[in-house]
Amino acid sequence: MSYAIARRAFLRGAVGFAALLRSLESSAQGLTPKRFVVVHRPNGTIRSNYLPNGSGPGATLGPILQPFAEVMSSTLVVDGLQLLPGGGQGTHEAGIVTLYTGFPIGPPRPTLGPADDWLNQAASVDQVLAVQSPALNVAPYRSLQLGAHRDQSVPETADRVLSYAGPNEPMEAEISPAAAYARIFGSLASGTDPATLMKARAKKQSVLDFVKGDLTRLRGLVPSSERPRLDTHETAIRDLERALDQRVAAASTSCTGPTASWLSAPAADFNDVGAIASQMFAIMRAAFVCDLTRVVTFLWSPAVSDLQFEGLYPGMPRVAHHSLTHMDLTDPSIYEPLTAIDTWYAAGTANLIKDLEATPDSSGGSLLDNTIVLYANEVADGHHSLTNMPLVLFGGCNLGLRTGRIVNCGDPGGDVTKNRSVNDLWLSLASRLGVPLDSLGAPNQFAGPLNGLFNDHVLPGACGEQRVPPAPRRR
Amino acid sequence: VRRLSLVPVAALIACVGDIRVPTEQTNPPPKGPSAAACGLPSRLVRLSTRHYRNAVRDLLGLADGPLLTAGGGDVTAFFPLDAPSVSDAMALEYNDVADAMAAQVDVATLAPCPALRPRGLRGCAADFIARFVPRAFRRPLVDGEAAALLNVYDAGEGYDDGVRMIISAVLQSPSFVYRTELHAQLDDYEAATQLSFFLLDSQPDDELWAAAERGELSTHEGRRAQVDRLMQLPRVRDNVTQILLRWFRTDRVTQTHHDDPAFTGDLTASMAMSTQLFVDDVLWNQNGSLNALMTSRDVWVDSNLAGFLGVPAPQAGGFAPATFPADQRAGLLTQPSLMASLAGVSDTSIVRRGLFVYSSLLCLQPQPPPPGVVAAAAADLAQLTTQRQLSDYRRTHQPCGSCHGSFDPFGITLENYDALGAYRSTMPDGTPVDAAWNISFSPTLQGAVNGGAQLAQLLAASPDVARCVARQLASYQAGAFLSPDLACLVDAAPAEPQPDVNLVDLIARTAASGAFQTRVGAP
Repeated sequence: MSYAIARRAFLRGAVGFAALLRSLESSAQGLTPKRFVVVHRPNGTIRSNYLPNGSGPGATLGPILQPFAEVMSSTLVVDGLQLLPGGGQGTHEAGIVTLYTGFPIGPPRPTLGPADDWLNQAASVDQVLAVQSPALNVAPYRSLQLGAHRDQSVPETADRVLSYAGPNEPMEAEISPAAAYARIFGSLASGTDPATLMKARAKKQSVLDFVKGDLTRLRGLVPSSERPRLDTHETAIRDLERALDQRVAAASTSCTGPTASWLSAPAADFNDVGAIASQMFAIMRAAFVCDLTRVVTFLWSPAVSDLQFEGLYPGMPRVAHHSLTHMDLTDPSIYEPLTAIDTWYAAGTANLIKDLEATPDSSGGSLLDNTIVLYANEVADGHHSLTNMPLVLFGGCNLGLRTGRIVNCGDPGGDVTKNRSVNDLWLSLASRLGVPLDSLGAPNQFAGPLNGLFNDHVLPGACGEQRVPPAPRRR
Repeated sequence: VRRLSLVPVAALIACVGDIRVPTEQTNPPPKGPSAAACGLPSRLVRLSTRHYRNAVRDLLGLADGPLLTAGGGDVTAFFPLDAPSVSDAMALEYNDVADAMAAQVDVATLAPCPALRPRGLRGCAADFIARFVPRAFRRPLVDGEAAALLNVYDAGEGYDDGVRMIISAVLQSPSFVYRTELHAQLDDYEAATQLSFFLLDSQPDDELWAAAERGELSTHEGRRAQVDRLMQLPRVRDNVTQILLRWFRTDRVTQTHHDDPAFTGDLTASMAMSTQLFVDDVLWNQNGSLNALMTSRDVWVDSNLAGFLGVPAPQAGGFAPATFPADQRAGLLTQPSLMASLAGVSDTSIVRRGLFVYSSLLCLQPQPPPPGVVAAAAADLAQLTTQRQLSDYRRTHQPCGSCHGSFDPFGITLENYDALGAYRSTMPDGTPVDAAWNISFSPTLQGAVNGGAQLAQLLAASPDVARCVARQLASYQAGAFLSPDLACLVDAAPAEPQPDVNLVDLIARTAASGAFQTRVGAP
């Protein structure tokens, strides 16, 4: 019995999961799941080595994107988009906040730290999707925030947060694979009989009933200024109840997490970061196989990361990433190590893409066919340019994403200040992922969805086994 | 063009005045008839990562408590910058952590139920609720609460399981997760809780709890008596030391990298410990004098650090204070741990050192460079090599100079410490160090200095620094940096702090201060 069918069989027998049953049945009846992933790496790129060689059908990927050559048919390089953070700010912190929320930065966080730790003014787009998309908000965990590194030399919260539940509501990345595994798969016990699971769930509910009663009591005592926080808390407990229901449902299937010797210590060097990322990617993949979540944001290392690298090519000296980006980017002794670092991040990310491509989805095709991955950076280069953001999309064949191409959305006249906004990419993605948005950000921050990223229709069977990779070409 | 024209204006605004706190973001007291009242708002304070860990540890009598991660808190942060609201990931984590902690406890110890039990096992559970839950919730139980928790117990499978379910429910309940500061005049339990999370870094201890039950914390005398008792406890003294260390971020040295192979992990660990011992010694053996903190010539050394600094290692092993010449070391600012962490990978950093003085000792928030400035200056800066050349460029070119002119000078006078924190009189190229500057920061912080030790002397004598110290401690108690309109909380600490302020006394006064007992906008 396939995983999906086994789960349905269980759910038919279970009581109280009508809504869940509906959503799972609909997905089992041919509506393929949709997923969205963000992978972030820091400190910009070296544009001359990032850009593809040539154009048209013969174009090949530049050295930095070379690790994606094997998955070129699932790759869509989107060049020529700019970020408009407002406030006259062009820094890593402003870039990362605006990149993921689409809105201008707010005032700085009130601390004694640097005044560039901007507050966000809106929820991040991944969270808008995770909450509002009927196609995404169906799994036990609305979204997961994972990461591989938290640089202690970077004090700004803004630099390490990709997801925001709302204004000034950062959702920090879990950087311990052991903790992430425990949180996602911790109570999935394969083969436990439904009656035992139901009993455990009922006990849990008696605890949560007390917690909810306590919340209601406290809500009656606080000033009105504190009520929104408690409303958020109450919503979170309702989400928890739903997650527990679905954990019970999932536990009755054969779907359990991968086994590994999970790392838990913070990374000491870039090799550790790579090892942690590999484990996080394995957890992400398994969570998709079990349909435990449909939205994941992944942080390689925070913006402004000074993670040190060495020996990526013979003779490469030990360098600190962010510090190096503030040197002369036309000097080979500067741009060669920076090229190697951005290529290293690409190679690690390519492993995730290949893995998703090689893993069958329960509804047919591969995980990657039903998943759009956005690979992004908070600045275009080390001098905080925001005009040609290095963005790549992967996968999404079943969502109609036209991959195997390099598209240039830049101003035809070459005036980079007139480049289309990253928000226009978000509008295109959001619509395909189930949340048609008319606008995103301040009026000067968007024009409308980008044309030509997606096919209008997805033909049944077009993705999966026998897909012919389209020849790379420029629009 | 339009953007560029704004740059000088923005830069000028950026570098005068005080920390800008966005009033929309800090739950300001409501405007209206009572707007004149200055005080913290009636509020909930979610336990920080560190406070949750400590509170669970103390409540359950464990060796260590759980470390939450979903809320993004940092146990080493001076202010908890945890997410303000409980997200779905955090609710899930509370749930998992509460279960895991409940599974760990020894029920027979925490909730003993003797063989002779007049009211049965359920009676023992009721006794446990009456004893345990008020301490966890930091207030007496309210009507119906004990019964509701007995319902939770009843859903369990046997006594131990039922008790564990009570514990799990308590550890994820809002009454435990949030501290309440709701009343216009804090009640005794709220006052005990505020005091306790400041000084004990955790839940009220038995004596503080008893004082709250006796109603003793509504008077200044009652609070001061408890503060004086607490300040004698080794645990509180350790915590106060840690508060200062977190403020100055002296732990950063252990995560600092330098190209120099002499800068080993062992050395950085010794540097961090050295500064901890230094602060501890100033606070608890030298009467907590701010002057001693800023100007003491002592550096605590072990064999690692003694070798590095070129002084004899302590004969008895371990750490001992070594006294340096007055022009070489003066207090906290010249500690090797700070000088080494406030540096680049291969050189010193005038900017980082200057900014430390500017923000940590003068309570001013630096503004980031205006857009495009870094890129515009990159070609020029690439031609310059020394820290001093780079600083000269920044201070003399606008818009850079409008900010760097105010804090770079502090860093210039610290150039007589190399990137690893060793004292130096010559530069790597053999030329003499130039660390002289005529500081002209404010009417109460100015004078000619030559070298970091003289800068430290100047700072120690300035009321600007003393005011920042008082403000930082008040902010710590408040749990967030105090905006200027909450200056009453700083000023309310009796008597304007003087340069020779006694830090221990200032902490005690801040902890017991009546200004922290009132809340604006109570429902």
